[in-house]
Amino acid sequence: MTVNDIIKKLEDEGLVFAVLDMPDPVLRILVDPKDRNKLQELLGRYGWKRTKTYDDEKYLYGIEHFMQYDTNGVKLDINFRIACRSTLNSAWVPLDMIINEGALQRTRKINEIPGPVLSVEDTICYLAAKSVYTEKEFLKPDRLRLKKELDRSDEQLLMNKMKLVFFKFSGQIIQMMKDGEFEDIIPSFWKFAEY
Amino acid sequence: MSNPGVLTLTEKRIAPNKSFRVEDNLGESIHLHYNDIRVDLTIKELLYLGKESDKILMDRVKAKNFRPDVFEGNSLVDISEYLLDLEEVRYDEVFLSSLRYKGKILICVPVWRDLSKSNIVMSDVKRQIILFNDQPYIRFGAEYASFLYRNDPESKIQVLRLIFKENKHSEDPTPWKTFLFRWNGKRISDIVKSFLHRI
Repeated sequence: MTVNDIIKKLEDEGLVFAVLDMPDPVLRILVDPKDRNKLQELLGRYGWKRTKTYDDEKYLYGIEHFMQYDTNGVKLDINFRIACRSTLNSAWVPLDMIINEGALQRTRKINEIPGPVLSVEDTICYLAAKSVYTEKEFLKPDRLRLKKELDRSDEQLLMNKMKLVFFKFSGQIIQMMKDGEFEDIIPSFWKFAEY
Repeated sequence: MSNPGVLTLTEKRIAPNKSFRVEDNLGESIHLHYNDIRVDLTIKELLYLGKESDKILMDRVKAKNFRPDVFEGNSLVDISEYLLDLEEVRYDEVFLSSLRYKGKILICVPVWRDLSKSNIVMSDVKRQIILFNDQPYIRFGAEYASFLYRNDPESKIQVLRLIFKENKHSEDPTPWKTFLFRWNGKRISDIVKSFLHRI
């Protein structure tokens, strides 16, 4: 099963979703928690098996547990909230409600990724939070995507959303990403004391 | 608003349902939590509060060699409830083999045991080892002491010895006696009463 096959099946089913990212061999999608049953019925119909990934994870603020299914090739990673790992026990924590609410109604299509993706500003918030908190490094595919999305972004809109994740560090992280100084972002964040 | 970057700087449980906690919410603010109250501070305000607290402590705690910066990490928080009785702070060198930690036998009976019998969770996170008065009992830092003992049982280590007025806060060398008596208190008093009644 290829990424395109899976996306087509999800779209045919009328499921509201967005592709978050695609680190090989994973296809990570965001799905509305209300569509959970519909999605599980679809996954069962194709006989995709649920993997143990995410079973022992901790989740804060009552977010729905993530799931991963093996589609005989691609691993379909299902997230019900835009989230990243917290510094507290590495538990999954949702990004601010303002970013999460309506994120699936702000989706768009781009050439680089098949299927709907998050809005420019939501994508930047997700990738930056993922890099700083979940991966603890800016992976190459994420750097490339961030550069493209930053060129497309609305400065004020982006700043307002990034402030919900990085607070007073937002201006600095946006500038560092624009300047391509990805290696220095995390050390600078830990040293940041202007708050 | 949920900040994914929260670091607990210090935490002290004051009573079963009451605690004091200082959190660094990265990029956002410092939170002081006391029960249901939350105070938001900037880093500058926290540092100022720290300096002022040091001054207040120096003013209130009239003990020989006492300085708040003698205490590493969370040690000052650990001993905060004893501070007003403090008479002297001493650095002491002791053999690890001479120290005792509070362990348990028969599931719940407390005893002071030597570190070779340690079944407490060891930790290689450096912690100050604190003893009270002239006793060999480890009051804080037993996990780290166990770790050091496991590495070299013959070695000497530096400990912080806190001397209190009138030997206050000393531990009972035989806590099991107190425990058993309290545990069986009613039964024992019933037996004594019954015995006296027969006479």
